[in-house]
Amino acid sequence: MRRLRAWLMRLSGLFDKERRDRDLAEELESHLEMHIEDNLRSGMTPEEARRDALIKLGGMESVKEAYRDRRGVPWLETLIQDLRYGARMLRRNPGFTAVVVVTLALGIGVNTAIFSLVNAVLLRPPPYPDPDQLVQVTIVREGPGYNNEILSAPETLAWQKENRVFSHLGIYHYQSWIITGGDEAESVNVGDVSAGFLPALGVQPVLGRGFSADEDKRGGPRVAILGYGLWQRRFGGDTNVLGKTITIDHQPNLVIGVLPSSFQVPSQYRKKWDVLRPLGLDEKGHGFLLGIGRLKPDVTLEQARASLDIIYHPFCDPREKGRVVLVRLQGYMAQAAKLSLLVYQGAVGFVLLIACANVANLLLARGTRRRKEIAVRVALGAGRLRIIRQLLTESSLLALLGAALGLLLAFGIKDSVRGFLPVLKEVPSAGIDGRVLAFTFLAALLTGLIFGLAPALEASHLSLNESLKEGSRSMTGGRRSHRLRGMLVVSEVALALVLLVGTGLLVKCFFRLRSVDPGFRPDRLLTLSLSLSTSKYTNRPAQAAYFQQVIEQLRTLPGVEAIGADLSLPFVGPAGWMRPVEVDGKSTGARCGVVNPDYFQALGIPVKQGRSFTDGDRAGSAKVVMVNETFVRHFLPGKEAVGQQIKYGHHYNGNKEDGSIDENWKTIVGVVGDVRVKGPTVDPGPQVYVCYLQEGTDAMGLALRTRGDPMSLAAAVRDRIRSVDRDQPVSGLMTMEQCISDFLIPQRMNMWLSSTLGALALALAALGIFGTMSFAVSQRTHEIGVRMALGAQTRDVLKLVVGQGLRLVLAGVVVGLLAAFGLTRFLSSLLYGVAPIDPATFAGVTLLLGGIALLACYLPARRATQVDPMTALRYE
Amino acid sequence: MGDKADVWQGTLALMVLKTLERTGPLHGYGIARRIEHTSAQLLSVNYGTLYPALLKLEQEGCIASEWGVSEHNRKAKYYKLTRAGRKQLAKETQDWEQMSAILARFLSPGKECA
Repeated sequence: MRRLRAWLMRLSGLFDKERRDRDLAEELESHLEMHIEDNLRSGMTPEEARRDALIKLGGMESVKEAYRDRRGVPWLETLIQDLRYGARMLRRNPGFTAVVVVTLALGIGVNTAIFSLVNAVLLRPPPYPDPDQLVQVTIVREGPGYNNEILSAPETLAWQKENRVFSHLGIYHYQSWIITGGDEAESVNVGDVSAGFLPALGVQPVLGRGFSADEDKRGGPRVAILGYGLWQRRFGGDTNVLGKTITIDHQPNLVIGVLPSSFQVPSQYRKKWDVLRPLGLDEKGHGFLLGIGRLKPDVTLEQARASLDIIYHPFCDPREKGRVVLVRLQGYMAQAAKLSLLVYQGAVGFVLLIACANVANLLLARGTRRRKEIAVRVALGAGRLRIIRQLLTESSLLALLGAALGLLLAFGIKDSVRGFLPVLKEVPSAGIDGRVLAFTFLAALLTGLIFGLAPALEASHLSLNESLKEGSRSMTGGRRSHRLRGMLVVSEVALALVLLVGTGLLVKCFFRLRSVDPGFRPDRLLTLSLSLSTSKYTNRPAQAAYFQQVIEQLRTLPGVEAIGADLSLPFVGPAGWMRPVEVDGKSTGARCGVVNPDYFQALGIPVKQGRSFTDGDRAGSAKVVMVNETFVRHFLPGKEAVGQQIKYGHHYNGNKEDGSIDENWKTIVGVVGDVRVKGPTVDPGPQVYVCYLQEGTDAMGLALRTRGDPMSLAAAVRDRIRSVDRDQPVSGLMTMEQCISDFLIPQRMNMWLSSTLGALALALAALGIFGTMSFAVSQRTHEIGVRMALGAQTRDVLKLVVGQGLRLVLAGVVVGLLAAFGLTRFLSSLLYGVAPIDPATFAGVTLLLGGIALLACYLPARRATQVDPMTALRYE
Repeated sequence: MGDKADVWQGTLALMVLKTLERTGPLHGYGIARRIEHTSAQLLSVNYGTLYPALLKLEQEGCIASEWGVSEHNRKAKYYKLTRAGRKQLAKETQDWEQMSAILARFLSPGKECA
């Protein structure tokens, strides 16, 4: 306590120094005078009296010095003094300061921006109380193609009943449904959740309550909890909303609660949910469930896993060899974005290092010019450490200025960077919080140390005699500083090369994907989706009739050439919908397409064998299917596919599929070309098509081949569809080309972001080489003059200078290539169809960097050849 | 500042506090003279070291200072003991006595062999 008080007093001693100094001077003066008076009284002469008093006091100035040390905080005062001096130096060289600060601001700014995302996605815990207790329940099965997150009804019900390890277990799934009533029908995301879902997350509705166990039953009361957004949008934030109804899928639901605005879906893709309903799971429930549990406080992850595994075991299909795996929610939610974020954090780190090397180079060059100043300081008694300390203070000051500017930059670009990473679109805010500020501050200090240390050591390492003597003569800066500059160039080139190789790989990947043949003609196609309400269109004939009407309406629309309809259009719909298949004695599965007869012709998918569907393939006629070439290759190799009989799809009873295979035999009537339905990155799998007129479906994606710009028909198309059923919402009106381009968003963004960073790195490295070589040439003007006077030709001089530069560049390229060989494998999962060690990319990037480096060496070299020997010799 | 100086400073601080307790408010010169006098001229105080010690005590809140007028009608800065200072003095006196008692026992001949 006493000590703290003393420290505070000392800190306050830093201010108002003049008054305090005056105070002390007066006090000592009065002390002296009293002493002298006493001495006089004891009989000394005035001179003796004064002398004695001064001796006893021990010298005015040294007393004042000791007093001042005690009064303030000496090291802090030194620091302030150094900062003042540094600031003065920086002000006096505004050009130098600006170049350095801007370079550092770029480096630190992009680092801060990326870190703010890393912080928001990877470091910040999910927004629920005690997030450490939350785990995602997954089942890892053997064999490809399984989604680990997906659970099915039997085990989840058993867990809900028997588990002793979770305080709450939430089971949920989500899909889109139509909301009607009010002005406009709207398609919304509905989360169907068990009663334990909100308690597991620890989320309390802001209005009303959560679902009770009685409501979470099949056939239970129809209730709903509104999402905050929907509440504001459709009910105007009305606080009396409880007890009103909301019509989801044409069923009225009683509103019993409203979620807080901060509510986040615990998913890695961070979709928004508009409204919640009770899940009402029973044994017949479907199999696309997700599970989230809150561990009891004293239960470990492994205990919980083992316990759930035992309960799961009886339900496990022995062929799948499934086992329960629990994933902490924070890790689970970060999964999708983790790799990209870490790759980019690494890349911007490289950019910052290159910036550091550049700044270090500048400081070294300036250090040579400041030798005299430093020599004078040393001569006046400054120690080596004192000099280093002062120079490091200066570089830290530069770094902090750069960081301040960089922080502004980060503020400006963080949201656009977030746009680069599609999985981050729904991250609530990648704000600049304390952790980000701390990161920036530390990055700045570290940066200051990295680029400042070598030049400071170098500068302090001078021989006093030589420097003062060297004084006005040409200063080559000594061998050591020469070598240091060389090393900086080497590391810059190496860092830039690694970044450029990464960029090259991502760019190549993008263009490769863009040129992948999707298997159909995507131009002039307008797409949209229609998802029917099963409570309004309760059976297959009614559904088929609706789609038939819609297609009829649209066919007569001027400008429409052809209409293709599929349960799930390529690049547009959900990619799933696997159905069981029995073919050639084997049981297997294939993706399902429910299409109209015109589908293949409208999309330009070639029919390779047999025929296409016709209007005659309808309910009651012989059951027919079409398959793609991959299906034939996989299941009917070497056989004549057309005419083969297969069993396909689920058994359909009344208005619902019951999960068992449809026992009716169906005949393959045609084989079509493969279509990359899941986008260009996924190879087409086996696919079966059935005709909607025969099988029926409650959802369709429509693709209209138009004569002109597809979007110009959008409004008319919407009107025609509404003329069939006013309550039927139309979603996803966009062109197929837009859909394809959306599929490549991750790759396109990877390409742009890495290209930007690569270009930044290349520019910085080129500047660094150019600066170093220019400096070297200016230092060697005298020598070059002598050489030319002695008969050296332009070519010799060029060779001399360019050779010196190229040696460094070459060393950098070698180091960079080695590093790139080691590092690109971290990119492999971001690359498609491009090997991490792609010889063409490596070679191309090396040539590009080499060419630019050569240019950066050549320009200073050419200036060297224009030296007039006479001037050069006089050049002092 | 070496170890010796620290010890000396500590002792000096105790002497200053004790002096102020005995005399009431007093200026720096007076304190120095008083310490010399009390030590029967055995201690020679370098008056200069006194001022940083006074500053330290003031920063710690043991003493307070204000400008006043001396007995010879001269302007001087007077120091006086604060309440915290009195407490500190009592504590340090006790510590010091304990310490010297221990040392005395150590140094008195023959006893520790018993």
